[in-house]
Amino acid sequence: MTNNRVTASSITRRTFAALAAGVGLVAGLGLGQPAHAADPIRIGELNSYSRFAAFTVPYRQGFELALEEINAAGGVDGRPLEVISRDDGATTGDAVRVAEELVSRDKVAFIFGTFLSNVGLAVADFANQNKTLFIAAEPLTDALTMAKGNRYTFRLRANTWMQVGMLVDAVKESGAKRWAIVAPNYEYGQSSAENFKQLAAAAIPGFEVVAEQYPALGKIDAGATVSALEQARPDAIFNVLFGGDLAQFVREGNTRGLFEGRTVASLLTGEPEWMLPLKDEAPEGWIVTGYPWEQIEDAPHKAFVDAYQAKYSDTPRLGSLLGYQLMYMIRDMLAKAGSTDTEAMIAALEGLQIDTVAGPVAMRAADNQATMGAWVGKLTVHEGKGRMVDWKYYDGGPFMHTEDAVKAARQD
Amino acid sequence: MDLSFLLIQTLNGLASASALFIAACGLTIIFGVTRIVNFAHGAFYMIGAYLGVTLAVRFLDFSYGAPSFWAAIVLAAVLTGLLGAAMEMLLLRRIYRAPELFQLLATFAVVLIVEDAVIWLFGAQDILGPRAPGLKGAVMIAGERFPAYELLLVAAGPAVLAAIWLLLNRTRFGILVRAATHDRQMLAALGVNQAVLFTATVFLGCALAGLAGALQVPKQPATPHMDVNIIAEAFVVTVIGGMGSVTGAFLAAVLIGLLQAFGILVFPKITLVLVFLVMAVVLVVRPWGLLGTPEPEIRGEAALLVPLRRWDRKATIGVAVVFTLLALYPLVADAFALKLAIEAMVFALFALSLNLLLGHGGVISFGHAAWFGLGAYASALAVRHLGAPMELALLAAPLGAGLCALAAGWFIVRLSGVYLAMLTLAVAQLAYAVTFQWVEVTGGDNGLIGIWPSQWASDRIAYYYLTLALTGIAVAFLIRLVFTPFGHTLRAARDSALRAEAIGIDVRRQRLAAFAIAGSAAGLAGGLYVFSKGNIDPSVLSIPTSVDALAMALLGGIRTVTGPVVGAAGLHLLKDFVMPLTDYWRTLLGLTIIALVLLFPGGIVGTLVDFLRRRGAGEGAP
Amino acid sequence: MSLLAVNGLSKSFGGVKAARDVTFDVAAGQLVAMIGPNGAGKSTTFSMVGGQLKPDSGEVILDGRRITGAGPRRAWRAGIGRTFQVTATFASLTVAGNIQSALMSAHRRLLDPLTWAGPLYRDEAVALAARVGLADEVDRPVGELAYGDLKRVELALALAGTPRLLLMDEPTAGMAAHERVELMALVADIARSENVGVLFTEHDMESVFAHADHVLVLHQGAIIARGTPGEIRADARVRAVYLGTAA
Ligand SMILES: Nc1ncnc2c1ncn2[C@@H]1O[C@H](COP(=O)(O)OP(=O)(O)OP(=O)(O)O)[C@@H](O)[C@H]1O
Ligand SMILES: [Mg+2]
Repeated sequence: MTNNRVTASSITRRTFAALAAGVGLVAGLGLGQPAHAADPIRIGELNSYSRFAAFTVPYRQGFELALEEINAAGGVDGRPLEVISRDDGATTGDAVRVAEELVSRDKVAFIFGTFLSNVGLAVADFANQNKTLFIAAEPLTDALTMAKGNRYTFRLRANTWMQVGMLVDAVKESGAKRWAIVAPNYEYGQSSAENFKQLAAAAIPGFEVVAEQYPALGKIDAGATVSALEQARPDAIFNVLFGGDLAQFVREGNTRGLFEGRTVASLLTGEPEWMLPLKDEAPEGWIVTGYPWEQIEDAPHKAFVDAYQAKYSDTPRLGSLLGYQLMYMIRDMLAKAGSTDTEAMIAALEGLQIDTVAGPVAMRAADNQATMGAWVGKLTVHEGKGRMVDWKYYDGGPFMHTEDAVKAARQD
Repeated sequence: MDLSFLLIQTLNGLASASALFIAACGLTIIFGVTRIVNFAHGAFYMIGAYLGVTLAVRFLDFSYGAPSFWAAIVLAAVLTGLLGAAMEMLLLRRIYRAPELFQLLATFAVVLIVEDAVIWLFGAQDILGPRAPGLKGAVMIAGERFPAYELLLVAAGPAVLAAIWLLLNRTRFGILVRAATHDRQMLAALGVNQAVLFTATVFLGCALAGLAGALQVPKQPATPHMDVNIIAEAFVVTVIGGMGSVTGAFLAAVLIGLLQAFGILVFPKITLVLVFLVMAVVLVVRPWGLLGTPEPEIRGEAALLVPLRRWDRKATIGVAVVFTLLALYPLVADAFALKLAIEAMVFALFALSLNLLLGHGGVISFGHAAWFGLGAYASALAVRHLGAPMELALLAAPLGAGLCALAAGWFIVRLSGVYLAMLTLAVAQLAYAVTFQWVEVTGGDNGLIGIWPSQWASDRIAYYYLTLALTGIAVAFLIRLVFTPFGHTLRAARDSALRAEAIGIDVRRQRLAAFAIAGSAAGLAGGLYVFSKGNIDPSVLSIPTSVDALAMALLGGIRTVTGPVVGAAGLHLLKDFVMPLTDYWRTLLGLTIIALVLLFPGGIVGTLVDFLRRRGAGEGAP
Repeated sequence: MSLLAVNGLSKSFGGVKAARDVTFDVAAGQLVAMIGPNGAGKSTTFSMVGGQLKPDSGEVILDGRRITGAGPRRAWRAGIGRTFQVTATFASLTVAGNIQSALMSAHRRLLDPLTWAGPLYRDEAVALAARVGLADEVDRPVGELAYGDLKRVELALALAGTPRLLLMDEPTAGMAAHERVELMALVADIARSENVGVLFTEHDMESVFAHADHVLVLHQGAIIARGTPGEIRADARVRAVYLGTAA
C-alpha cells in the first residue's frame, strides 16, 4: 500500500480535497476549519513503502502500534493524533512533491519519515525552504545534521558518523590494516565510507584503503565486484551494502571465499530486515550493527516486543522499533510544545529528553541529533537464521560529533 | 593485474553476457518476425524470475535435488512464454500495422501493468531464491575460486545460441521465422498462417526472456524493478547486434558483458555511460547493427495523416480565454492548487514541445525526457556551480537543452522509423547515465537540492505568474510555429519525405531545426520545473518521463495543435487525483495508453475535432 | 546545346541491371517520351535524372552543369520538376497547401518561423491549381482526392518551381480518356509556350504518339530504339519486344 490512513474517517474529506484541487475550482475552501479540542492533530508521513518494503513496512507497523496506544490513552491534550502516510517514491523529486502535498494540501502540522539519505536531504531542504518541521526517520547520512543540517530538521537514529564510530571501536583491535570498502554509490554509502576512512585512520595505526567499490544502489554486479575486491588482497572489508545488493554480494562473496580469514565490518547487516532474507547464508563472523531483539531482556522492550507480536503476528525489525520510538518522541514533543506551531515544536524538540523502550535519549540542540545508540555484535548462523552474538549496546552520546565540529560544519 | 585475475574477470563478464544474451535474443527474434520492438520484454524477464523463485522453492520443498530445481526453471520459462503468447493474441495482433510509436507505447503499457501485477501478487519485498542444488560451491580456476553456477551460465549462452540455431535452420518453424525476418514477400508466397507463426514466435521470445529471468534466481533476488535494468541493456544488445539477428545479439552481449566486467576496473565510474555510448555510436555509424540488415520497408503513418484544423478567430479567442482564466486563477486557488497548476503548465509545454517532433515532424522521439532533464540540470548546475541567479539559470535551461538537442539531433535525423526511435532512447539513456554517474558535478543519485527561485519569485503566486508568462510565451510560439512556413513544410516533410525533397525541402534540416526548438522548449519546461520543486535527480531523465510526455501528447491528440496541452493538463491532474487513492496508478496509466492506441488514436482533442467536423458536415447536408 | 544531356547512365540493384549505358538528350521546348515494358528501367532512369537515385556510372548534365548524384534538392534548384509514378503528395495538406509548400521552398522561406503560412503565396497556388484543372478542389485535403487528381497536384507541384525540365512518370495513369488528352495537351502547351523540356513515360501509346516529338524505347535497362513517333511505330524490334507484349 502506498497510501495509508490511520484515521479512516478522513478519507472522504481528503478525497474531496483531492478532487477540489484536481478540478482546481474550489480547492482550499473546505479545509481550513479552526481547530477544536477533539480535532485530531494531523501529521504527515512519507516513506519508501514500495522500494524498501523490508524496512518501511515494519516501521509503519511500529509507529501505528505506538499511535494506537497513544490515542487509546487520550492522545495529546485530549486531541488524537492522525498520521497521513504516503509513498515517497524513493526519489528526491517524488519525495519533495509528496512532502509538499502533505503540507499544502493535507495541512499537516509537520512531516516525518523517509528512508534513503539523499531523499532525506532533499526533504530537509524543502522543510527549510518551507519553514516546516521535518523529523527524519531512517536517513543516516551525517550531512543531514551537519553540513546540510538546518533548524527545521531533526533525527532520532544514530547517524553514519556515530554508527561507523561504534563499528570502528569494535574492530580496531583486530589488527587489520589493509582495508577494502564497498558501499552503494549515493549519499548514505558515500558518507559512511568517508566517515570510515576518517575514523579508522584515527583509531587504527597503519590503516590504509587498498580497494574501493561503489556499485549503484540496487544495480550491483556482484561477481565482478567481489573479484575486484579479492584482487586487492585486503586484510579486512568495510561494507555498507544493504537489501538486494547485500544479498548478492554475500552470496558471491561466500562462494568465492572473499570473507575467509578476513575481518568484515558491516553497517546495518545485523538488523533483521537485512539479515533474515539471507537465511542460513548470513555471513558468520561479520562485525555488524543491528538489532538482537530476541535477546534484549529489559522489561519495557519486552513489553514492546510482546505487543508488536500480538498485533502483527510477526517478529519486530529494527524499523518496527524505530517507528515505535519515533511516535512516542512525537507525542512527547507535542505535549511539551503545547501547540502545533512550528517554532514551538522546534523549541520543544531542542533538548527534549525521552525514555524510549531501549533507554533514555536526548535530542541535542546543537545539531538536532538525538543520542540514540546502536547494538554492535558478531553474526552467526543459528537454526538456519542469522543471529547476533557477543553484542553490546553502545550509547550514542560518546560517538557524536563534538559541538565544535558541529559549529564548524553547520551553516545555520 | 595478474593473469588469473584477468581470466576470472573474463569469466564474470561472460556469465553476465550469457544472461544478457538469453534475454535479448528473445527480443531480437520477436522483432525479426513481428517488427515490433517489445518494450515489455524486461517485464517477461521479471515474470520469469518471480515464477522461478516461487516454483523452485515449492519444488525443492517437495523433493530436494537438481531435477526439482531445473524443472522449476523450465516450467517458469514455459509459463512466461504462455503469458507472452496471451499478450500477442490480445494486444500485439491488433497493432501490427499501427505506426511504430503506437507499438512502442502499447508494449510499454504492458510494462506498467506487469510491474503493478507483480507487486500485487508477490509483494514489494525482494525475494531471494534458493541456490541450485549441486552447484552451490566453487571451482578452482587459476588458483581462484569461481562459482560453479556461474560457470554453468557461461556455458548456457552458447548452448542457447546453438539450440536456436538448430531451431531456425533445421525446422519448418525456423525456416518461416527466417523468411519473415529477411524476406517478407517469400513469407507470403509460402502461404503460412501468419497468426500462428506470430503467436509461436512471441511465445518463443518471451519463454527465452522467462528463462533468462529464472536463471537469475540463484544469483540475485527477484525485485519489482529488475525489468527496467534488463530492458535497457537488452535494447543495447539487440541494437548493437542488429535487430533481428540472433548471432549478432550474442556477439553484442559478449561485448557488453566484457565491457562491464573490465569497465568497473578501468572506468569504475562510467560503466553505464560506456554502454549507452556504444549503442549510440553503433546506431549512428551502422544503424542496422553488427549483423543486421538495413530495413527496406519504411512504414507509413498514412492512417494518421489527417488535416490540421485551420486556425481561426474562434481558436484565438479560445486561447485568450484560457489565458485570462489562468491569470485570474490565483484569486481563487490555494497554495496547493497553484502548485498543481504550475506543474500542469510545465508539462503542457513539455508535451507540446514533444509534439512538434511527434505530431508535426513525424519524428518518433522516445527520449524526450533527455531535453527536459538536461534543461533542469542546466539550471540546477548554473545555480550550484556558477552561483547564477534564477533569471540566468532559467536562460541556461533552453540554451543548454537546445544545444544538446541540436548536437544529438544532427545524428538522429539521419535515421528513420524504429532505428530513429532507438537512437533517441539511447541518447536519453546516455544523458541519464551521465547525470547518474558523474557524481562530482551532478551529485549522481543524490541529485541536486536547494535550487530555489530568486527572492521576488519565491512566493508561490509570483512563481505562478512567472511560469504562466514563460510557458505562455513558449506555448504561443510553438502553436504559432505550426502555422508558419517552417511548420507547414515540416508537416509536408512528414507526409512525404520523397516529395518534400523533390521540391527542394531539406527534410533533415527541417527536422533538425524542429529538434533544436523542441529541445529548447522542453529545456525551458525543465528549468521551470526544477525551480518549482527546489531539487532535481536523474530519475527525471529516465524512460518513464519520456513515456509520460508521449502519453500526454497521445491523450490530447498528436495530430492536433493544442491537444498535447489538454492531454498534459488532464493527465497530470488525473495522476494527482488518482495517485493518492490507489496503489495501481501505473496500471491505470497503462490501460489508458492501450485504450488510446486501440480505440482513440486521435486522442481527446483529435476525436472531438473529428466529431465536430462530422457534425458540421451533417448539418451541411440536405 | 540541349537542355538535358544524359550520358551512359547505369544502375544495378544487386544482380538486376535496371539501367545500362542510357544516353539521350532533351531540348528545351521538346517533349520526349520514354517507353518500354514493365521493369524496363524507366522509373530508375527518371530517378537518376531527378536526383532520387545515385547512378553507378554516367552523368546527368542540365544546361551544361553536372548534377549527377547531387540529390533531388540540387536537381530541383537546377530547374527539374518531377512527378512520381506512385504519387507522392502531402496527404494532410490541402491542394493549395501542397502547392504553397513548393512555393515556400522556391522562395527559400523554409525556416521562416514567424509569417503566417495560410495566406503566403496563396494566390499563386490557386492560380497554379486552376491551371492544372483543380480550381474547385483548392481547399480540399489531397488525401481525399481521386487518383487522377493527385496526378494533377503532382504536376502543379512540379510546375511551382518554374522548372526548365519536367520529368513525368506516367502522368495520366488513373485518368479517364478525355482527361488524359486534356492533361497532355496542357503539358504540351506549357512545353511550347514556356520553352520547358519534358521527359515523360506513358503506357498509353495514343498519348505517346500524339504528343511526343521524340521517343526512346527502353528494354531491360538499355535503349534499343529512338526516333520520331513514326519511326518507332515502324521499328520491327520495338514491335517485337514492346508493342507485341503490350497489345
Ligand atoms: N529500389 C530497388 N531495389 C531493387 N530493385 C529495384 C529497385 N527499383 C527498381 N528495381 C528493379 O529495377 C528494374 C527496373 O525497375 P523500374 O521501376 O525502373 O522499371 P519501370 O520501367 O519504371 O517499370 P514500370 O513500367 O513497371 O514502372 C526492375 O526489375 C525493378 O524490379
Ligand atoms: Mg516505372
